Amino acid sequence: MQEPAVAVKDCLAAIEAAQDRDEVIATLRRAGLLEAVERLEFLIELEVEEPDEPPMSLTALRQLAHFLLLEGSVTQRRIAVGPNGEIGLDWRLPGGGYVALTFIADGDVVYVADAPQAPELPRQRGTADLCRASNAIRPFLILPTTS
Amino acid sequence: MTGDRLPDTDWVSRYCRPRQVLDGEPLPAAFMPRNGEEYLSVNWLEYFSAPASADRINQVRETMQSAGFRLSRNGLFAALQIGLSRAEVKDKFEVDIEFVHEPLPSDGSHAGIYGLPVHDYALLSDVATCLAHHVTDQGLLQRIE
Repeated sequence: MQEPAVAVKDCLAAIEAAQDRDEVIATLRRAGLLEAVERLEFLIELEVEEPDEPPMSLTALRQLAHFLLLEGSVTQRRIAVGPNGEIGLDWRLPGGGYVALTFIADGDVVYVADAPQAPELPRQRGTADLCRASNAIRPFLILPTTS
Repeated sequence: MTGDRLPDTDWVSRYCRPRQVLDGEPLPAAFMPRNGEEYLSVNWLEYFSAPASADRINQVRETMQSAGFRLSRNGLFAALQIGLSRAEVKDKFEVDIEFVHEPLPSDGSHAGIYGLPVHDYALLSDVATCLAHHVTDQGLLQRIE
């Protein structure tokens, strides 16, 4: 089996040590998360068009990067920057379900998840550190998506 | 909250910034207020005389631009039917949102969505996600080219 080009633990350490957003994004690129990199670079480019809007938070970006590295199956989801510089990541599930995460500037993660077509999964909603938020929505990661 | 409540039969539009749009769809962040804001800004479409919603959104666009508001390429306007939006949020979350006319000197159509749970960020995120999906599934979306 071929070894990954860059070990996840090395990437996590690099993200923790990153001094700016470019360093975080460069680490995601090294890890091969190219769709997320393309979207994040586009979102940062947009800041020139809207200089009055709060920029994407570095703390939020670090948390998003951690999440993407540890939960590899969510690399193709929808990423946005909120009105306070927070980062949103969401995807839709069949039957009107969804998962939405918001990485806020203080380092916490807001999570909501609802899967009406998987009644065995109770609805999730809360604000927690990255580890707890990831645990809360992990059962939803195996469900098919519609976005 | 200073103005009149808008009728359930009417529509509003929400300007969604490019960083809150992907593939022509608004993302939940487009329906999150800034910290400290009491309401989410929208525009009342029936304020304008044009018969079609798309034309009314064009009038919103012209009004906002005349007022000096910068509308960015790749942004979009998302239209919400007031009654349906209120019912959806009430049914799912037991939250009563209200659409209130808040005219500005430079924009008589300006309105606000009040009652969003701004002190419960997780619930607010859930409501914003619901509104984003609602307008994508039911509403009228008009891109800014």
